[in-house]
Amino acid sequence: MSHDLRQPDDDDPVIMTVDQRSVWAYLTVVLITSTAYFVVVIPRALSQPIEDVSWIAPMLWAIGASIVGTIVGSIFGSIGGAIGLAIRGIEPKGQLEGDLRDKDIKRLGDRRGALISGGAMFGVLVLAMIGADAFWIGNLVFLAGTVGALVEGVTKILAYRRGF
Amino acid sequence: MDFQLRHQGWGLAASLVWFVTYWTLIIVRAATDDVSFTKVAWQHPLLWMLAAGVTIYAAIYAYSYWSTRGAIRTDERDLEIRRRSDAAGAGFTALGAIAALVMLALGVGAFWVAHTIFVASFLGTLASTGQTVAAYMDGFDR
Amino acid sequence: MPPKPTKVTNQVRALRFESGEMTQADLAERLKVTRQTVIAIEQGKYSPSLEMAFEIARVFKRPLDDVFQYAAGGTDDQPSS
Repeated sequence: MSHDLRQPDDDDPVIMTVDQRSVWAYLTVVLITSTAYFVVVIPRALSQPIEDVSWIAPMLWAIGASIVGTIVGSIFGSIGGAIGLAIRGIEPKGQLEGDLRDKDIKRLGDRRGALISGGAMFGVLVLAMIGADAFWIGNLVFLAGTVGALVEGVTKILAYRRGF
Repeated sequence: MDFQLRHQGWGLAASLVWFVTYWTLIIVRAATDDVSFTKVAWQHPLLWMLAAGVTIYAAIYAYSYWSTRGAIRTDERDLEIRRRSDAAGAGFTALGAIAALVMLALGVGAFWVAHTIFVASFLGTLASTGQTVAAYMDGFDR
Repeated sequence: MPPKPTKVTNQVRALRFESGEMTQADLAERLKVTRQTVIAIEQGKYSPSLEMAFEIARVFKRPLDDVFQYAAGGTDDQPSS
């Protein structure tokens, strides 16, 4: 099978697999959307009685935006990688698509993140039991999910760069 | 590996009994208090059941620990199995969290929110523990 | 926390050069993994699975011991030959 593209030499720069690019997209997007959410909602919570704070719409927007943003970011990351290789005339196969190592890293990160967010569910249960306002319950879930996502992302990036 | 299999296996069996007990309590209470199911006073039963569950699990763990004295309790195979199985349960918990958020957004009552999270977490634990036990019995491939 | 340095070292890079200047990408293609994984293995940042270790040795047509070395310091320390 002949290509117009060449195999990379050892001194060609090492690029990220699409899985690693997805992690960066995920991390970036979650940071942005959660920051935006808190910037909007915390001032409201500080200036109004808790039951009156309108937090649901901002939260749904934040969650929706992070899902869409991660997908879009991952796609752009993959395309960018493919174009970068094509410009240098390098065959993309064997550098972009994830392999067993990417799966191992994903498992490690997912697990660490899930431990954090899952553990917080217990606190959420307690809040529901004591009849806390929906505001506190919803925001604990959101906070737990955000922290879990950040831990997951950072764990994976460190594993990619430093090994594990 | 004996230690892990023992406390996970017994934990799995006990949690099933525990889960059924909780729902029985709630249903019986709703019937005798003559209230609609979702208005039943569930907070105290849940609290007591959680306390009981933690105690029972601690007992199972302690027994497993004691009965495996002198042996290696956790080796790298155990760690690897645990890592793989945790992933199986995480999805349930995440799904439960999302469902809870949706319910809160819709203004659904605390009964549903709490029990959605409760059941979702339970299913998640069931899935990961079940996966762990299966991995010990049947093995797993990379 | 930083990963514990693996006690397994390898000669993958040296063996690649001995095998007609095989590039990382060449080896990756034969092992059906990414080039990044080959690099990570060479830099000691990723431990290949047992299957992959055998496949690497097979590519170089060498016994496993020639490719991977385990830092002894345990109980059975036998000098080779």
